[in-house]
Formats: sequence, structure tokens, C-alpha cells
Amino acid sequence: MKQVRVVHPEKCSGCILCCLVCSFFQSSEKKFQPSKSFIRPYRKDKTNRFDVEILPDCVHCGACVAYCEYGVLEKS
Amino acid sequence: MDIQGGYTGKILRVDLTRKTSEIESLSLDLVRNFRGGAGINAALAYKELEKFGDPLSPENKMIFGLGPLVGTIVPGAGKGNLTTRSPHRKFIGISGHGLFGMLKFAGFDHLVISGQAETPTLLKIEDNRVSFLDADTLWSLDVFDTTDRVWERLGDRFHVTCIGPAGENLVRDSSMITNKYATFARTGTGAVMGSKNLKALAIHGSGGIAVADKNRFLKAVKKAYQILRADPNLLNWRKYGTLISIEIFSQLGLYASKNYQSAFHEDLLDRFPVDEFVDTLKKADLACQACPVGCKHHLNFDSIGEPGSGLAVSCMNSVMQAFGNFCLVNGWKEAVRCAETAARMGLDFVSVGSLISFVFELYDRGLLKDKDTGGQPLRWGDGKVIRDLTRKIALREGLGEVLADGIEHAVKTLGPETAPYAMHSKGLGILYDPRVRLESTEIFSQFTNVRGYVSNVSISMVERTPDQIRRYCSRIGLSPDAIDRIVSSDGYNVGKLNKWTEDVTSVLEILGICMFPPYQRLSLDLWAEIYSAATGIETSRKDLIAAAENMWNVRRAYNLREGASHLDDICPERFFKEPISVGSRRLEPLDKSRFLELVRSYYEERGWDPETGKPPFEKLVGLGILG
Repeated sequence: MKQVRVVHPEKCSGCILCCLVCSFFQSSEKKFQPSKSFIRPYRKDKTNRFDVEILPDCVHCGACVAYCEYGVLEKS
Repeated sequence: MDIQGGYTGKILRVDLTRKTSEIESLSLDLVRNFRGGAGINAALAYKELEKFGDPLSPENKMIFGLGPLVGTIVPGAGKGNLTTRSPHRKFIGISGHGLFGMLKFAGFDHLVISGQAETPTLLKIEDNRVSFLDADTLWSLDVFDTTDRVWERLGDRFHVTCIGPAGENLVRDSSMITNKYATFARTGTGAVMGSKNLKALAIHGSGGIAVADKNRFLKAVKKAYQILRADPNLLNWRKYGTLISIEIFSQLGLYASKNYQSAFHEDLLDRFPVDEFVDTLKKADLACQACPVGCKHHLNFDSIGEPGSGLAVSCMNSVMQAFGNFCLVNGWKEAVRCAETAARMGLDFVSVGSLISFVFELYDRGLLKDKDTGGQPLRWGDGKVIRDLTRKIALREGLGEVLADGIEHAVKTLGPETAPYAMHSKGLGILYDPRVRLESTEIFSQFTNVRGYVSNVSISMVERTPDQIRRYCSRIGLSPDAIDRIVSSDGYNVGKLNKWTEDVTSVLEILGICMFPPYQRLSLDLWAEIYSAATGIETSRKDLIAAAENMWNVRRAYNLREGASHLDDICPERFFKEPISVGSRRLEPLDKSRFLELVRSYYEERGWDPETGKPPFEKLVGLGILG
């Protein structure tokens, strides 16, 4: 099965589109709700740079990859 | 009308005096007439801010609003609006940025902060829990250090909006800054926050936003992404941000210099090589919430500031304009140093650049002496002097005290002989020279806009043929009669066109979308479809334009109630008296009677009295604003 991977975390712009789309498609409520997302950008050292983590509950649907315009994610 | 998505349907009201908060339902009348965000904020400001109130008193309110699309995946849906009573002339203060969307996840479309805390306060909003925390140890810290301390205390999941020393000291050109870079700039928002003893606002939300019709919504959003991705300029917007037009603007001579005594031409590109910025200074792209464009920048600041430090900048054009063009700082590094000082102090770049270029010219003309400057010669382009003066404005020291209450107050202090050199509109420093291109709605609207200059960038910033303007008007849905009113065979009426470019960008402002050109490329019909699908409120392009018109009527009525008149919609006399050279081109002063005729045209197109600019009484009654 193809897996979603974080290939270029340094390119994360902090737009949170990945979190928004993940929560919408994966939650039963069908809401845009970053707190329920299985992918999370984390702020690095109090700057506006980010690390990105995929949580264990991710089902690797690839929706986040489709909406990331910055080349951070890949499904392979 | 039944709201099924998009909105949270709630307004959070916080009273800093009583340390109380309450949640109220969003009125359907407000939604019907103004739709959301900046539109509803204008109505709340008109209804709730007392006539002739003191902007820096507890009675003033900070009214935040997020449009119905904020919180979703709609591209560009991150725009937050702040409306308040501005310390500049007490007119309506309007500002916005793309990083305030966390409020929506906390469960609120709007946040209204009133009163005045007894002691310095950190207001914490976590979902529907509101806490009034002590901020004694934060007071006097700069914006970056304040944000760091709040993140250390509460966790960096919070979005932190704070003021620096400038806001604390009620400096009229101070800003509120979110997460160290996204700025509620202009119209003295920082001073309003400071007057409330509110040092910082920390918001985190764990809630979500639903949409009314999932499939219809996703289909419309998919189309929006397809259009954006096909934009040949998309990656250039990301790469250069607001510097995207530096070459063409330089060629046109749009970059004024030395307080509008001269203009840069292509020589500016040698002083500020845009590829050098991208190659050596820019470290990474940065985006507002839900933005696939990403026009902000994270800078490699190691070679400029402290090793390991980072600096994020929203608008590099304003950095270059304020410090490079206005004050003659040469090159990116020194301009960025000046911007860092202003950001830390919590001052807005363009206003500071305007104030400093004003006093530099006064010094050149002998209207300011060394005794007035603390013995410091004011030399154009001297970054150290500019940074020092920036700090002094924030701290109200020396000459900074004279400038701290804004350019109009400075003229009162320094004497009427300095007035001809105060280049502002309604107390706000302007950004572009109307002698060079009055045909631009962005440049023209600097003088008719209710707050003064606003970044109402649109199609006419560069030269356009009448046919191109016709096509634009047709695309936004104007009738053939309306188009004929605006465009003739040999040109167009910028006053009339301005009404429509304002309305188009205001639709975005109301929905909670970034107003920059990539988003203007999406049709109003598509925005209406997205809005309808998200909210369940069937809405047409015409309905959205009507909401924008309603917002402008109310904003105008607000200012008129405060004593504004058509006499405030004028540009500085220098532009009517002095020519300017751009390269080898000599541009004559503006014809005042023509300028005033264009202002009348603007009023007329808005449906206002062409002489006074007054909206019809019945329009305001119909909105529940009067009567």
C-alpha cells in the first residue's frame, strides 16, 4: 500500500491545508477541524518554520498530498 | 434564512474592565445585509461605537471578524478583519491579515473586546474558555520577545497577537502583530490595544467548521484550485511576494522617493535587485491560513541580525518602500534591519517610513535644526539614524515624541510651515504618487478610501487599454450601460471604476478571502457558488456585490457621523503644485479641478450625493443602521 510521507518538511509554509483536508475527510463529523487531523505541522524553535509529523492513525488516503501546494508531502 | 455551515454563528464579547465574557448569537439580519467578516464588523462598529468617542478610551471596541469561508479549505480563506475607532481623526479604523483564523476554531465568527484592564493583561481564549492573565512581566517587552514568552507560558499551539512598546505608549502608528509577522497595520490598532492595557491575545481552538452541501462545496472548491493552479504567475507570487511587480512599477516610476520630491525609475532595481533578495535573503515560503499561494517570506537573518535568529515578513514591498524608497536606505539588508526594529517595536512600516521621510525633508529645508533632533544630523539613507528614530517614536523620546501622535499632530507641534511636506491622507502616510498614475484605482483610492491608503490593488495598477478595462468590467458582471458609463473609446473614469474594484475586493474581504490578485482572478459567480454551498444560503454574484456596497455605505456613514466630509477626500497640495521627473519624463502637477471631478464621479457611481459624498438616508435605514 502506498504511504504518505513527509519528504520536504523544510518547505512547509504553515498554511495548514493538510490538516484541514485530513480532518474533513477522516472525521465522521465532516468538519474542517485541525485538532482532529492525522497530520500536524509543529512550530520550530519559536519561529515561523515548521516540522511536519504524520500521526499513527493516518490511513494514507493521500488527501493531504493533493492539497499541499508546497511539495512537502508525497504518496509513494 | 437558515445557516447550515461556514459560520459558527457566535460572537464572543469580552469586557476587560469587568473581566467578563459572554457569547451571543450572530444576528441573521447582519448576515443577510453584510454576509460576514469586514461587512458585519462595519455594521457593529456603526451601531456600537459612540459618536465622537475617544479612540483611546475604554468605550472604544476592537471588533474582529472572520468571514464565513475562514476555517475551510477554500483557497485564501484566512483573512481576518479588525475594525475599530482609529486614533487618526477618530475615523473608522480598518485592518486585516491572514493569520487570525484560529478564532474560528475556537468557535467564533467575531470577537468584540471592550473596556480597559486595570493592569497589563494577557487575554487567553481557548475554545469557549476566556482567561484574564497577568501580563506585568510582558509589559515593555518587544513584539518578538512578548510572543516568545507567551508561547513558553501557554504553548506554541496558541496564536499570539500582541503589541510592542509603541502600542503600550499609545503611538498612533502602532500595530498589532500575530505570530511575529502577520500585522494589523495602519490606523493605530496597536494604540487602541495599548489603551486597554491589553498586551497580548492568545487564541487556540479545537473546534471545526462544517459546510452545508459537502459535494457541491468540494466541486466548487476544486474548480477554484484548478483556476489558481493554471495561473502562470502563481509561482512568481510565491517566489517574490509583493515584490512581484517591482520591475514594471519601476519602469512606470511608481516608487516615490524622498517624501515625494522625486521618483525612482529603473535605477531602483540596482539598489534592490530582486533576485538577490530571493537568492541570498529569502530562506523559505510562508503562507497565511489556507493559502496555496504563499507570498510571505521567512528570511535568512543570520547575516543581518543575531546568529540563528529568524525574521518573517509579510510584505517585502512595504519594507522596500518605507525604508528604501521613502528614506533612501540602500539595499535589502539595511532595509530589513530597519523593518526588524519597527516590527519589534510594533510600528507599521509604511507609517514609520512616511514620518521619517517627512522629518528628513524638514531637516533639509532648515525647518528642523540639530537642536530639534538631539544633535543628530538627519541624513537620507542612514539606516542607523532611521532605526534610532524608529525606536524613539515607539518610546516617545526626543524627536520621536513629536512624531508619536502621527503626522498631523506633528505638524501642529512643528508649525504650519511644515504642513506642505506632510504627505498623508486622513492622517495615514500614502504609498504611491498620484502624479505618476492617477488612473490606478489603488492610487486614486488612497484619497477617497474611508481610512486613507489601503492596498486595494487591482487591474489598473499598470497601464491598460480601454478594451482591457471593458473586458474586466464585463467579467465582474457589469451591464453594458454601466460599462459605457465607465469606459470611453479613449480611456476610462478612474473614479467610477474605483467603486467596482473596491466592491470586488470587498466581496473577498467579507467572505474572509485574501484580496490579492490571484484571488481576484476567480469570478464572483464562483465565489457566490462556494458561499452558497458552504452556508446553505443561496446567493448570487449580485447579492455579494450588494453586501460590499452596504459595507461601504456604512463605513462612509460612520466617518460622516464623526465629522468627515468630502474635504477629507483630497490629496496633499504638493501634488497639485509641483511637477516630478521619472527618468527623462517630466510629469506635470495634477489638475485639481479634474481630481475633484473624479472624486465626484466616485461618489456618483456609489450612489452617494456627488457633492457631499453622503449615502442616501433610505439605504442606511434599510440596513437597520438608521431609523
